[in-house]
Amino acid sequence: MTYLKDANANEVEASGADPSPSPKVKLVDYVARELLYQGYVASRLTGMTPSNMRRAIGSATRSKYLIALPFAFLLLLIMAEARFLPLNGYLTYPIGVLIWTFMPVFISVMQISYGASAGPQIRDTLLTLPLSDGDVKTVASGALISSLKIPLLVSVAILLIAGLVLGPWLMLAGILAAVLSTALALIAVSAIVRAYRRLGTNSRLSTLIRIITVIPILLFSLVLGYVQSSKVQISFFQATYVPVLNLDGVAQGHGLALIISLVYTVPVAIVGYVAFRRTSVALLSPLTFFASRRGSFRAMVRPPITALVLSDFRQMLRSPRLVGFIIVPFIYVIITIYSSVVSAQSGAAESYPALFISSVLPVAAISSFLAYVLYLTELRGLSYFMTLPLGRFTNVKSKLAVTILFYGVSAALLGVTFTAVTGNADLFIPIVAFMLTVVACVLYTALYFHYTVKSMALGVLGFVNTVVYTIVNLIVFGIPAASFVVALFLYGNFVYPTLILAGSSLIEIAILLLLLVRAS
Amino acid sequence: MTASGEAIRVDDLVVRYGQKTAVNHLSFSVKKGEIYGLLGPNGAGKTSTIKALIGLTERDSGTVEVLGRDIDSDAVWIKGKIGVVPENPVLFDSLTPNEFLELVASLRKLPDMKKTRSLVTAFEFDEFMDTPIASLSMGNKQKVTVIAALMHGPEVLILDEPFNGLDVRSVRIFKDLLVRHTSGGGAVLFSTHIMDVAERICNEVGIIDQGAKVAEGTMEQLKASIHGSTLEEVFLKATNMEKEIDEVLKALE
Repeated sequence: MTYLKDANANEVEASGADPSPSPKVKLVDYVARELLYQGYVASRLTGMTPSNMRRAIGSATRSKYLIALPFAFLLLLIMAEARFLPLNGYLTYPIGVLIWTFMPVFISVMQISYGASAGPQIRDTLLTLPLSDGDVKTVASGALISSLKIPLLVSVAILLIAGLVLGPWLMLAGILAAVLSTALALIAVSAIVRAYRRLGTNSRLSTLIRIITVIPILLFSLVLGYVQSSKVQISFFQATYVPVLNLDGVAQGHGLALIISLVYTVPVAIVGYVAFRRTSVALLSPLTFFASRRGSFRAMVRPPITALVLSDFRQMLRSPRLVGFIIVPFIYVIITIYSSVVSAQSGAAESYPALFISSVLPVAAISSFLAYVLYLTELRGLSYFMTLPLGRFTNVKSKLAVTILFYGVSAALLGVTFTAVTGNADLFIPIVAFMLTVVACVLYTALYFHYTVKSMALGVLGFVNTVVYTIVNLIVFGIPAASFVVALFLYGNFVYPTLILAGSSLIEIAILLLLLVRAS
Repeated sequence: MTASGEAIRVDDLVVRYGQKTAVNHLSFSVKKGEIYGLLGPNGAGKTSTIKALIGLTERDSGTVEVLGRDIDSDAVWIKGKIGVVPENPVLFDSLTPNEFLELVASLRKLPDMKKTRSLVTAFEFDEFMDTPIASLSMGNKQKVTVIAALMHGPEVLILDEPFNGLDVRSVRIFKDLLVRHTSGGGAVLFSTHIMDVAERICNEVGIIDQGAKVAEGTMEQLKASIHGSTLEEVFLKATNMEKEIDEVLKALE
């Protein structure tokens, strides 16, 4: 409660039950900074003590830029597309803004509330201050929105630049899309938090329903992505009267489309703010689960690796923040299977290499980051975990088991579908070989966390660390994958490319194993 | 190498957080069959000492040996022989005690859960076994860590403020278990600021202030050398707090 202590003093100084606006604004600022601290500084999650508070806060702030910058880059790309490919650019621009404002807002709120939900301090402190219920909600929602200022400012800055480059109508369409998607993201967060709190039991049914609540959010993004990428030609009616699509009309300067888009954007924005304001205090409270049945002793001893795998899965499925990491790839696989079957039925099946590169490669790439998520899950309770007698490779083996299972099931589903569609089982050869690349990435992730955990006395996941991890993991995955793709175009079959893929992955595995043995 | 009969040996331990020295050239040992109390005011360095002992904080210098083995080279072996109750039990919150104890027992490769079951019954914890840890009260979370620390019958117990939040019944049971543990040859290192408890169950006490040891000995030795009739008096004198408290109380009058 680093910052809230000072805020409390300010409130005490303010005489009477109704504080003047100035302390309330200050309080919003203090709570926003506390949120930043608790959301990103790992000490509250791990039990480790931050040895350098200033460095920890600085690192937390830089993490916010880390989230905002890629989205800013995407917005710039969308703008460039709208400017240089004007035939389909008008529609892609507002839809692009809609998606890439929605995602950073949604991710940031989930991220920040995850840290805050680890303890009741913020909510409890607010409730002990002389504030009405309404004031508490205003402060909580204000602080949460204030904590989003970096991604929001990035969006606004890009949109203003868009106004200069692309003209006022496109800027207006972009601003409407940004307002709409921010409101939708806040509604989505409110809905998920409410679902998680109402279904806060540890029964399997509740877990399943909680997972299902995340799916509409993902589908929303996927549908918009589909609309954006399929370069839909829309009619005048759609560009004027159909919500979201009529942002295209706004971009083209139709006054009626602007009026109609205001008719739905303003209420959605209001509903978004009201829903978020109502949920804001809950967002700052511990996520509580209740027992689904009367307790009884049922613990049993399992093999260590099985116990670790089970524990990782249980924690991921119960976390609103982490469950998406499991669901997104599976939705991707299902959509890929669906589109392959549809393409085959329409006689437009892709060639094997193209099919592989566009479907299996992304699944392998996603799988290569799964170990990172599993290790992140483990950071909760790390201080206790470190007191247990884990062998040098016990934990690595459990992460390997989950990742191989995850990649194996996803890739096998794709392989079976492609075999059924094309009548050729050749694709299974590189599918199996890519398992080696994924194994190399898991070993690298284990090595990374070995050193990160060693430096966790700082109590924060450093910004530079995260960037370095991402880049190196992309290299570890990229070297065999790129060699494979190049060889695939050179040879036109899977035999030599697969040998190159397996060979380069095995070299990586050998080097990483050596480093891991020396490190531990 | 640890002298025969020593369960824990700490030599010249230094822990720094940036510019601040939390533990300042601290040395002590805990013998088998002994309960050693590490006492000190808030921020004296008790928790940092314990964290350094179990590898949760990096040492700047000094050596730590447990059961004759070095913590740097034999960490996994040592962790198999010790039971730990941390000061702030930050556990895997979304797991239930059933799932958490199952994980700990599995990683410790216990042959069965008989002892765990009897500990759960002893602490009257059955009804909470399916409640996610996040929803447990502080005392019940503490019970989970106490059960997890005792479930494998460790030779050495390292406990940081172990009675925090526990109800009277549980404190009594836990204290008796500690005494029984040492009478069977086990060793206990525990930090506390509750003087009554320390006075009643500790065989030896080390008092630290600002990271450094200011007094050490059995109760009788400390009372005789520092001229105090109770451990509280000894503690206040050893940490130079007695005069300060008198002045503060006078100012409040």
